[in-house]
Amino acid sequence: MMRVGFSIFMAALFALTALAAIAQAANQPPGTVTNKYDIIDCNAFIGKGQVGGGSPFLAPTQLINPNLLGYVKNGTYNSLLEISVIIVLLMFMVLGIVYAVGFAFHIDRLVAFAKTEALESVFNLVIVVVVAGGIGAVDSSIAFVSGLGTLGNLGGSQISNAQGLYVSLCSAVQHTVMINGMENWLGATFGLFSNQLIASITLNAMPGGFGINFSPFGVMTTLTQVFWLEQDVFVFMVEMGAGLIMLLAFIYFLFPLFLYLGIVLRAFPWTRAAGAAFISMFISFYIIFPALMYPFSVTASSAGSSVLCDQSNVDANPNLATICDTSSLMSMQLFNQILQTLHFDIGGVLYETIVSFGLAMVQVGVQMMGLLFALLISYDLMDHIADIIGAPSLDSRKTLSRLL
Amino acid sequence: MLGYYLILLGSCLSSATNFITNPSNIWAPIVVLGVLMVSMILGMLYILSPLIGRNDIRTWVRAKLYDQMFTVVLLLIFLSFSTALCSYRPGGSLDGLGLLPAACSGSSIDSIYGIAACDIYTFNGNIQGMSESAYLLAMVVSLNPNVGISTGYGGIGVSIGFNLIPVEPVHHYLIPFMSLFYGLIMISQMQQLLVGASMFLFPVLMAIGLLARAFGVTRTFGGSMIALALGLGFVYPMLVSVTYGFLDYMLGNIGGPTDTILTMTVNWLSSTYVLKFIESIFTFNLGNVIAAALTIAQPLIIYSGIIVLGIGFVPLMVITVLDAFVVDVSRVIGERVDVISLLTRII
Repeated sequence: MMRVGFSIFMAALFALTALAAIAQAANQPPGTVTNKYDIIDCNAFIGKGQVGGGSPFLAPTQLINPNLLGYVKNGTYNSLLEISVIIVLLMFMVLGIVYAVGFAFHIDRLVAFAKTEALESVFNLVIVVVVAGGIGAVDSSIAFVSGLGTLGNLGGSQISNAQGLYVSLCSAVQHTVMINGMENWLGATFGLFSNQLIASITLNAMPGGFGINFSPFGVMTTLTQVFWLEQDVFVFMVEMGAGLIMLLAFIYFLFPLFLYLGIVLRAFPWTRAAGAAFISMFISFYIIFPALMYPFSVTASSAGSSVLCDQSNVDANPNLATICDTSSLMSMQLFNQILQTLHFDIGGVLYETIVSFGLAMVQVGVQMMGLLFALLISYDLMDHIADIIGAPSLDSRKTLSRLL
Repeated sequence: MLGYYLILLGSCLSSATNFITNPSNIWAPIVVLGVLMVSMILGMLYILSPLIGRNDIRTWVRAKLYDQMFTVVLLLIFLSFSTALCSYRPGGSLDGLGLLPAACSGSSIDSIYGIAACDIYTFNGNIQGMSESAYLLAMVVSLNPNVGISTGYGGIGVSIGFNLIPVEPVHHYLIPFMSLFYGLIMISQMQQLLVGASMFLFPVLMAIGLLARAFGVTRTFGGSMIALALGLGFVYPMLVSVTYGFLDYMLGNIGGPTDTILTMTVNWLSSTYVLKFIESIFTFNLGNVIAAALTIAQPLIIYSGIIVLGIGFVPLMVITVLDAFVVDVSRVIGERVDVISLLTRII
C-alpha cells in the first residue's frame, strides 16, 4: 500500500513538474513578437522575379527571365507592335484587291466581306495606336479603380501603378492567408498533441490483471475532431494562398504578352476570336481583377485586430489578450488548454479554441470574399468585352460548368 | 521551291499514316480534282441556264463558283500556313523570354508541337515529383514513435501515451494531399493527350474539311472541320507552349539545375534544420518552431503554389480561349461547333 501510494505520488509529481515547465515556457506575455518572416519577398518577386534567400534550402533564384521582366517593366513589346502594324497594312492591301475583284465580277459577298473587314482593320489600327501609348494608361486605370475601393479611408498605401498594386496584394495574401494559416496550423497541431496527451491519461486499478481503468479526461477526445477540422482548413489556406500569389505573378508577367499576341491575332479574320479573347482577358484580369481585390486585402489585413481585439475588449477580458496576440496563439493552445482541462473546464477550452479559430478565419474570410467578388466581376467583364471586340462566343461560365 | 516546301510539309505533317497526312501524296490533288469537277458542272449550268430561261440559276452558280474559288484559296492558305508552322522554330524566341524549360530546349523538339508536348509532359512530371515528395514526407513522419509511460504497482497506477514528436497531423494532411494531386493530374493528362494529338489532328481535320468543302452538300461540315483543325492544331499548342512553358521555367529554377523536388525533399529531411525544428518543439520555443517550419516549407510552398495554378486556373483559361475561337470561326465558315460540348460528351 505504501508503495502504491508512493508510485502515485511520484507520478503526480512528474505530471505537475511537466505541466509547470510547459506553463512557464509557453506563457509568453501579450505583445511578444515571435520570429516571423516572409515566405516570399513580394518586392523582389514582383519587382525582379526573384524568390529565396530566407531559407537555407532556397538560395536567391531568378524565377522570371530578365527579358520577360524587361518587357513587362517597359510596357511595350515593340517588335510585336511593329508586326501588328505590318499585318494591318497588308490586310488593307488584300482587302483592296478583294473589293476590286468583287466589284468587277459583281460578287456582292466579296464586296460585303471587304467592307466588313476594312472596318475591323481600322479598329485594329486604333487598338495598336492606343496600346503603343504604353502601359501608362493601364497604370492610371489601375490606380483609379483601386483608389475607388479605398474611399472611406480604409488605410493601405496609395497605389500609383500596376507593380505597386501587385506587390501590395502579394503581401496581403501572404500574411492574411499563408502565414496566418501556417501559424494556426502549427497551433492546432500542438493543440491536438496536448489534447491527445491529456485524453490518454489513464488510471489503472487492475491488481492481478483484472479490474478497471478509467480515463478522467477522455471527454477531451470530443475536441479532437475540432482540431482535425482546423488542421484541414489551415492547410487548405496555406495551399490556396500560395496558388493565389502565383496566379497574381502569372497575370502580371504573362498577360501583357497575351495583349500583344491578341492584337496580332485579331488582325486576321480567322484568328480574330482568339485575339479578341486575349485582349479581353488582359483588360479583365490584369487591370480589373487585382484592383477589385485590393480593398478587401486592405480590410483583411486590419480585420483581425479591429473586430474582437479592440483595446476596450481586451481590458475587460484578460483572456482575450492571449488570444488576440497571434504570436501567442500556440501558447494559448498549450497552457490555457492544459490548465482548463485540469479544472475540467472543457467548455472553456472549446470556447477559446473556437474563438481563436474564428479570429484566424476573419482575415481569410474577408480575403476570400474579395477573391470571389473579383473573379465573378472579371469573368463577366471578360465575356462582355469579348462580345464587343470580336469573340461573341466567349462564355467562361458555361465552359467552367461543363468542365466541372 | 515548291518541291522543297512540299517535302518539308510532308515530313512535318506525316505521323501515324503517311497516306492521310502527307498532303502532297493524296488529298491535295483530290481537293483540286473535286474543285475542278464541281467547277466544270457549274460552268455547264452557267452556259445552259439562259437557254432554258432560268437566269436565277446563273446567280446561284456565281455564288457557288465563289465558294469553289474560296476553297482553292483556303487550300493555298493551308499549304503555306502549314509550311510556315512546320518550318517555324519558336524555341529561340521562347527561350529568350524565359518560356522554355531546360528540359525542352533540345534541337530535336523545336517545333511548336514538340515544345507544347514537352512542356505539358514536364509539368506532369513535376506533379508526380510533388506527389512522391509528399509520400516520402508522410513515410518519414509516420516513423514518429509512440511513447507510453506507465507507472504503478500491482496493477494500480497511471499510464499515458503520446507521439514523441507532435507532428502526426502532417501525416494526416499529406495523404489526402497526394490523393488530390493524383486526382487533379487527370486534367493535365487530358491536355497531354490533346497536345500529342494536335500534330495529327491539324492535317487530318484540315484535309477532311477542305475535301468536304469542295463539294456543295458537305460545305458547312467542311468549314466546321477547318475551324476545329485551326483551333486544336494551332491555337491550342501555341497556348500550351506559352503558359506551361512559363510554369515549367519557374519550377525548373527552384533549387539547383539538377535538383528535382524529390532530391530537395531528401536534402531537407537529412539536414540539421529538421533537428533544430524538433529541438524547438522540445524546448517549447514556439517562435522558433514557426521560423523553422517556414524555413523548411518555403520551397515546398512555392513549388506547390505553381502546381496548384497549373492544374486549376491555367487549363480553364486555355480551354475557354480555345472554345471561343473554334465556335466563332466555325460559325463564320461552316456550322457552329462547340469543342467543350464535344469533349464533355465524349467523356
